[in-house]
Amino acid sequence: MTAQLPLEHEHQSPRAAAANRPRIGVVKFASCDGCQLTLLDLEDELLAIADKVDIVEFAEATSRRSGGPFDVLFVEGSVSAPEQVEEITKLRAVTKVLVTIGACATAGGIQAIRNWFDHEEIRHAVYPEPRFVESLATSRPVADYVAVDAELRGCPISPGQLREFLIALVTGRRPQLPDEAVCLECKRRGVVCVAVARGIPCLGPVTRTGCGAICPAYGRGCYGCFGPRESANTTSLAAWLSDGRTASDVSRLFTGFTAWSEPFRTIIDAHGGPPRSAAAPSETPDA
Amino acid sequence: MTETLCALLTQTWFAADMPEDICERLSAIAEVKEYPAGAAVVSEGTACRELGVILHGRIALRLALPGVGEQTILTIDDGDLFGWSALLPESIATSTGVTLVPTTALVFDRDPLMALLAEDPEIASAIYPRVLVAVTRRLQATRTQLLDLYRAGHEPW
Amino acid sequence: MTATSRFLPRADLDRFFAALAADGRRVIGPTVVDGSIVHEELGSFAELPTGWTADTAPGSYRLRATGLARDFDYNVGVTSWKRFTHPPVIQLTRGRRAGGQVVVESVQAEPPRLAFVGVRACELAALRIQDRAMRAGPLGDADHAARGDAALVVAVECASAASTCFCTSMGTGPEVDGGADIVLSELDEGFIVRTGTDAGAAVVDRLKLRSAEPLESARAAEQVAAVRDAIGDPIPAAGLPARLRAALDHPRWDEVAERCLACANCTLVCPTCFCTSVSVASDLDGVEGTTERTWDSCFSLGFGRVAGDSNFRPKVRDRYRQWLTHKFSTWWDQFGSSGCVGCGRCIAWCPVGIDVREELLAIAPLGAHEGPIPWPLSPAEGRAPASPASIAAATHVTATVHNVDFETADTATLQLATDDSALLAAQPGQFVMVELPGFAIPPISISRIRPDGLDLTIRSVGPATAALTTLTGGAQVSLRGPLGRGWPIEAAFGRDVVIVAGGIGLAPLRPLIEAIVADRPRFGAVRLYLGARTPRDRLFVAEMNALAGRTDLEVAEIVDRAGPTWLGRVGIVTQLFDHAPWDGSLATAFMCGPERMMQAAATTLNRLGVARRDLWLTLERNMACGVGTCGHCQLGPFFVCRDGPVFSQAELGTAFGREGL
Repeated sequence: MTAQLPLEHEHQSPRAAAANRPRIGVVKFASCDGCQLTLLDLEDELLAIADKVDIVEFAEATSRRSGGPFDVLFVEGSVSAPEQVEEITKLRAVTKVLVTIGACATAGGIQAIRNWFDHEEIRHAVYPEPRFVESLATSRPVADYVAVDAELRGCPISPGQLREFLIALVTGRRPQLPDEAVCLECKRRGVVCVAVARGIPCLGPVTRTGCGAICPAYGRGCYGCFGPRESANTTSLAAWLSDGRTASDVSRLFTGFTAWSEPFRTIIDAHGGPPRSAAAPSETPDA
Repeated sequence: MTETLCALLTQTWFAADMPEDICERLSAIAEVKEYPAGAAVVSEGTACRELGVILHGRIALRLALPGVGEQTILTIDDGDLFGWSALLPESIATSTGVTLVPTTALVFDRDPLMALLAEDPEIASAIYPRVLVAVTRRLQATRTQLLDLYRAGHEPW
Repeated sequence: MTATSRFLPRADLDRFFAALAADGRRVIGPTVVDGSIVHEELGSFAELPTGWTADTAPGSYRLRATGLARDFDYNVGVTSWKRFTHPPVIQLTRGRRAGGQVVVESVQAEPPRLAFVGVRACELAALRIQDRAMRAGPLGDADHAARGDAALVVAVECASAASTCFCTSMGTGPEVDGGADIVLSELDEGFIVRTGTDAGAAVVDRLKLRSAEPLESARAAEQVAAVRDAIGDPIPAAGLPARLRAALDHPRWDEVAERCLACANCTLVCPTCFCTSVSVASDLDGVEGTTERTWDSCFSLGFGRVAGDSNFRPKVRDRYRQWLTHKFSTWWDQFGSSGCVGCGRCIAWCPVGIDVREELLAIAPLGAHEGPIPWPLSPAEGRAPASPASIAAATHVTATVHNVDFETADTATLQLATDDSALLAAQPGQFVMVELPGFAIPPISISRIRPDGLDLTIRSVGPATAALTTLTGGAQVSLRGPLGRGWPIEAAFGRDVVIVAGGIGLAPLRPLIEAIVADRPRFGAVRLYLGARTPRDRLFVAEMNALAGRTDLEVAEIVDRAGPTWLGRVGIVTQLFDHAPWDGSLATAFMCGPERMMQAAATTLNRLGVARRDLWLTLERNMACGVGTCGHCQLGPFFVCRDGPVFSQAELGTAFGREGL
């Protein structure tokens, strides 16, 4: 149940790296900064962690910019504009371990829904003066542009997973970031399955765990913000969910924060693309 | 002399169960060669004029890798064949064979051997399956080496 | 104990609750939460799901009001009782590592004194079955046993049947025939009460109940008989284990895998599934480390993950097959019963409605042709597990590094000093779990057994093994073991011996080689065949050279690749003996190396006449608990950690080298 992370780069012992106070950076691209806030939310531990590492760049917390090099660089946000392509390529070159954090960086984010639509049309719908804004036709995960060594999923990321990652980093062990379904967390918590007991559509069976099964615990279906789990059988789930629902309804269920991830995208494509209408959805996961 | 050669040949796994008359007809066109350690018995990329059966010794089959140098990809021992490219129409050796220890081999010159195989189906049907076994064995070794079974992988610990 | 049935009027139910509380127990029973009937701690029996039942179907569960003032008109709750006997998460150990000093100790929580009220016949069987699994040798799960022993079980006989019920086929219900402390049968006006144990009788006696009237008892019997009739016999169980085992290649596995989400819900709602994983945690300084045991599932990819980026069950088909064949077939080999009790939870709680009854009928229909069945020997018919079960917390022994020898660039031998008598009595081929607090806990083969300690030869392949191989003299580690079945050296007495080692596989063979050399006259010809990746990756070079110099041993080695300075052999290990002149039928063979290498070597050895029962090999699996209770290392009927890691080729049958098991 452990995700595999190549922390032991170039045979350098992570413990040795920790002893030298690894240089850590936190940067952002197209995103809401919520994942960076999760780092600040660690509060108690943050000071202790700051004692073990050298935070040389942190967009949300300080105006200090270092330009690298980084032992570990946390990247928030999707690649959505032309200058971001250049920037991430430069950062990769000066980074040993590149970690993407959050649904935007790992899957393209909610803004990737635009990837299905005409770029100019979207620009005109969003910006009053689109000519002042440079953007790419697609919003894509960082991994579409550069090699990524580790991912922290979620919208936002889980403080528990971030804590685990940081402790593993400074103590030189492998972080334990399970890649299994949300269902396991639900069942361990004793949450009654909202899909089976209440007929609420839930993406839990195809979504990676890590959130602590928050939504089902509050009686809502999982909307997949951690993105696809290993062996995500979205085809089977979509077929089951199609019973009594239109193609557009099914597509809407997968059109969320990680819609652009391949297993979800496949379902959206097979069901006519993202629902086009701006009208209120006929059914949301927490209907 | 022929009888002795045949006896030597049948002591190897290659010819262990070869009918005596075939063994004798083959041995009649073979000669025993002694190589000191470090001798090149085959050279990669050159015409392969001889097919040999190692009676005693060891030969390293090597490939030259630019920037790396010579790498031994396989060693062959008693009973193993070298120079089987001699049986192919192009006859171009695919690796360099270098003796690692003083080596004795029974060696067939390509032309008389090919002539014998062409005119004598009995001999051909005795030789080719054995060559195929030897080649298969080598192929199996190569495949297993390709898997690189002993490499250190990424483990859960 | 009393065989007499008594009668508890419905109005007196509160007195029963009070009697359970007076027995010092918290009462866990059914109650309605979030539109479902779950088992939770009750404040009173007023919280029972009075007037509710649940309609279940594949992938669906809905409460329905019955209009009747009955408390137990449903069948099984959403959650099984294992939540209380086998909690989702428990702490296993706490450890400390400071200044090289290491201490690890087991954490044992005082089990809560609970009363389980509303346990159905199938659930009673499930408690028994899981208990048997967790008490199996060589070291039972102490936490599980304590929790089970501390609970008082109040069973309720079913008065209705859900569409997903099939206890009748599994032979577990609906009648409650024993195993409970107290048994209730619900009638409209009250409950027939029977007791099955002194503990149950002690509670019931306090209630001073009148005897049940024969007519009342008869009505209760009629109720449960009607349930039996309603369920019928949906899955004829006769011959099912063998039928399933003969159908390992059935195309239906692929079909069900297309629907299966591998979400693990079936295994987590299953009342007998016991598989867990161990996770480690530490503080920022890496000083304090803890381990936790967490519910896991054979449906998750990570469950089958092992060394070298490999996974024994990469496909969902493999995982579904593992679950179904374990539940209905290999469970018999392991624990002498079926692993299924017919509660139907896996059917209802499958998010896409896969019905295990339908799958069983399709994959292993009654009277299906029984093809060749793998695993001709079950563990019981092979060699017995190491020792009988004892129920105690695992013992963690601190050992001190005496010396470190680097064998290769990435492999080191730690010489550990210990005076622990169990560790010093280790047998060649056994392994230990090696812990540095805060790091994952690898199983490591013992590479030498000394009078004052053990050698462990460890290859650095990840953070934990990297930390171990960089220890220096005086540092400490924590050991748990020795574990597993070792090499059956006595099987080779009076016979020739062939030993085939590949790479790090020489490490577990070294104590065997040393034992043979020490007792040389007892054996015929002894031949060692060693394979390594490159000349620089050879282990124990000086020792092996010394052995090669002896006249009473034959030692040959080969490497996968080499530069021009290497004058030895290059190729694969089978080339060392595939034309060997010796008679294999006189030999006992021992092998350890990558599984693919061992397959090739086994084929060659068999051709040379080595009998399958005389060929012994070690298997690598993800051994985590080391005693057969976490489920990770299962291979067909075997727990590799407990029944192996040494097996004969005959024991493994067609499971050896088979992909996806």
